[in-house]
Amino acid sequence: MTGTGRKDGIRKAATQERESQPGPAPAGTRCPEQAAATHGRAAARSPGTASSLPAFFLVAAFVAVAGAPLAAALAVSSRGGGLLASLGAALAAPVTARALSFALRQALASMVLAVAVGLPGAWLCSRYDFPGRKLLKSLSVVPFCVPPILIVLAFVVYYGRAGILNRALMGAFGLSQPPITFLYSFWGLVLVHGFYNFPVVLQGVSATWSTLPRDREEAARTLGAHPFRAFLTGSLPSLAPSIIQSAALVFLFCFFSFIPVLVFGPLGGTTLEVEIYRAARFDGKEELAAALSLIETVAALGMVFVFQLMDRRNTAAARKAGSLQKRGRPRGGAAAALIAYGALVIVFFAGPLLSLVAQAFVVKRGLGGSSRIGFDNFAHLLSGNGPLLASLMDSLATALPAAIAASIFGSLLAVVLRGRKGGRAGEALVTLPLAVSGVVSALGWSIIAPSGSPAVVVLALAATALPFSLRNVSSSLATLDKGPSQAARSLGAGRLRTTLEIDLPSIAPALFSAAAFSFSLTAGDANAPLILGSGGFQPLPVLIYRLVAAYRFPEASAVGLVLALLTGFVFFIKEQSDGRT
Amino acid sequence: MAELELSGLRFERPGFSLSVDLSLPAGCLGVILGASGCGKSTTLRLVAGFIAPLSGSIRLGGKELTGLPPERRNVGLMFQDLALFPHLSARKNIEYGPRIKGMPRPERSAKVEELADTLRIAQLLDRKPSALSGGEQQRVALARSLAASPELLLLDEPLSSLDAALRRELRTELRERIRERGLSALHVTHDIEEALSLGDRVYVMDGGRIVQAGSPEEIWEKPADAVVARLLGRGPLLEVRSIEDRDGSTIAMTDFGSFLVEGAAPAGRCYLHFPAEALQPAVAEALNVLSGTVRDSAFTGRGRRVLLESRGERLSLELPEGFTARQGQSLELRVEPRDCRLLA
Repeated sequence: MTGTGRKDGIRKAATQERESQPGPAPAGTRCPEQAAATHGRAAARSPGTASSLPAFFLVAAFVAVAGAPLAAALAVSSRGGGLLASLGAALAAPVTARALSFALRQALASMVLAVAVGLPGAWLCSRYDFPGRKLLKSLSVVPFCVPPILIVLAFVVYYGRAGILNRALMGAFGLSQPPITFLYSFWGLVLVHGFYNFPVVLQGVSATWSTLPRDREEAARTLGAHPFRAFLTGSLPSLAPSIIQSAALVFLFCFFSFIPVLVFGPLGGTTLEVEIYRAARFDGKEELAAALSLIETVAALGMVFVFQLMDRRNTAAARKAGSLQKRGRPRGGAAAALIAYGALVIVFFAGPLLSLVAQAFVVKRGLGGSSRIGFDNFAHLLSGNGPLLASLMDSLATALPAAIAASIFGSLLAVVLRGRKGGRAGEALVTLPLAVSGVVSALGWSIIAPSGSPAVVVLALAATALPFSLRNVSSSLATLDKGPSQAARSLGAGRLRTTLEIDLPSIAPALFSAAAFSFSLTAGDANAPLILGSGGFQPLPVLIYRLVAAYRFPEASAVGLVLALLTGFVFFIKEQSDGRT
Repeated sequence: MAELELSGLRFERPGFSLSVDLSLPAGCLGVILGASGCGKSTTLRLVAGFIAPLSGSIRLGGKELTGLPPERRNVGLMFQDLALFPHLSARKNIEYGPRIKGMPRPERSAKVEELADTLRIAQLLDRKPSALSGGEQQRVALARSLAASPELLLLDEPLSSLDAALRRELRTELRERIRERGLSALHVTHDIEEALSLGDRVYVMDGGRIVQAGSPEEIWEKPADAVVARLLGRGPLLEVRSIEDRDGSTIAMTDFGSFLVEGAAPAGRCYLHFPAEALQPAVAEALNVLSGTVRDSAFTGRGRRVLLESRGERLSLELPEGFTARQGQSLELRVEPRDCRLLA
């Protein structure tokens, strides 16, 4: 029951699109006119554009699939006294104001932390070359490919009362009580959110920063400004859209955060997401849950709007910006900053993830007994009635078909939408599902299909992944150089042949990444199976959740490792191979 | 107004090393001329303080600048891409320097108005840089640099993005503004016309070194070596195969003829150089006649560009107006000994 499964998609899609923007044509490779022409919106209908009728049906299907949960929520809220009455009742409930205020406060604090940690990293990565720079930048895949349930587990294992950090500190200073106890509080939640999301800021801002000309900052220096003031005048105004954009994303993700809030939120700390879940699952108040869903979606639309606005500005700025700026070796102050930053990232970010891996191999002997290292957790989970294999099968059986369906449908949709006018409306259409949270989506599908068959889970998962595979493929199509396909047409190849033989191979990496991403998203999602699934159905995220709830952390970590390998592996390979900048 | 003195200034990065000695008198406009990659922009960045030299010193008006951060050098820099702050109006751009230095608002405004009047941008002050034309942006960038009252103004090819006519107009204006303020300025360019017409002193740079320094006339009339002559492109360079000394005069043998030259030959490998405009139609003579077969002849407007061949060697030559040269024809041209120079 991660509330954040689909949000991972947003991040990935958002970053990916920017990375593959034609933006400033790499010096000497393409002239600006060509770059502009290859950008989908500016281009006229390409020769490969399909006719209108299939396009209409595909778009209608997309709207239906993406809008179904909201329509269901709308229908349920309109029962009884009508829509306005349910909304009024939901707004009047004291828990609503409390949940909304808590959600906003924690999201704001988490966003500030993520920006505070992400910005120095963006500065280091865009200005300096150092060992581990590529690794630091590829950390941005972690928020995308590590499901929130694993992050929660990692933080518990690392910062918890009996966690690795506390035990190390108690051992080192001979303490009798664990010194770190803030995990289960507002600030614990903010710590988890901030460190889970800072790579989004790092990646998003450094993409802009590394092509930002330095001469404005230097101009400010020659006019008498000290370095920080020169940064404020010369660089910050140009960086602002990308900072605001990634901050808006982080804010949105934290606003939608579900399982970290359930686990780390202090007593009484609740968010709309949690309240919707409670109302629907425990209190049986479906109308209230539906009305709260609508309220949450409307609130989130505001942030999606900010994101879109900044996305446009940032893209426009990126197209104007220069080529990649040279990076130097860090010396003096920069070197010191780098070391401090590395330590910060290792302690706060890598530490939890590494301890999760370590924990998977810790074998406990009885309650409070000594422990040793071994594969016993895995052996136990794999033994005769161990749940791991069955869970893995459940995961594959739902995630694979869902991912394949989402990739194919998303790619088709991207192809028919390619180069069509009305780009803004289309863009908005594609981005709007960002405002629908994981819980709201799962709830909607449970209203539509209460039966709980795995087929509904597959459908819900596919619907979750669809907007992101569409975004992935269409941004790649938008940057596709039309030259080769026009050459093929002029050499006598037909439309279909050109698409199959020329265009498809060029966007194959994007198709692969869309498919890998859809798989990672659907395999890591716990909302749909938890809310929609029936008793015996237990994919990996659900198994982890149940093991965590039973305080069986080492076994949960072992399953987590399997899930992380399953969802993360493809992305890590991809980032490493194309993390050139 | 201050004298700039660069002594033993050294800088290195992989594949490139720079070593510069340069002295620019106070109130002078100096121009560093060189092909791209010769180190001219690096020299400016060293003076501005954005990179640190390995050794050597930078003195301005007797004050040691080496080691000071850029903001404490009082050296203005006009960038190739101008580097106007895009989010600030022209006025805010111009008053940025005085504001940082804590000049009170009334004085600041007066300064901006005065500069805007001289540079004819008074009506543009409230516009953002993106709403200004290329030439207007140049004027705003110049005003911004001047408003900070620098002791030395550095100009890194700020005119290079403009079209030829506008460039000429602004060049004159730039010279005038710098002159009337008695500013010392150091300008870098790869444009020969710009260097010669703008500078009081010209420093020709090649491979990280200053290979010749002098007045524009000196440089034009007497290039110090083949590198400078090639850069100026005033006339051909013929490789000298052998040298003969005859009654105190020097005779240089080339693939295109033998030439009597005034003065002695430099040691080692050398080239015969003369200005293309010194070429005259030849009468039957043995010495100082350039001869060969025309392989290609192209009209250039001011004359013809001819590809001449002799003994398997080829030479590209700019012929002044009035010469005819058809493909396949053999061509003979005379050069006076006083126009010939031997360059190392």
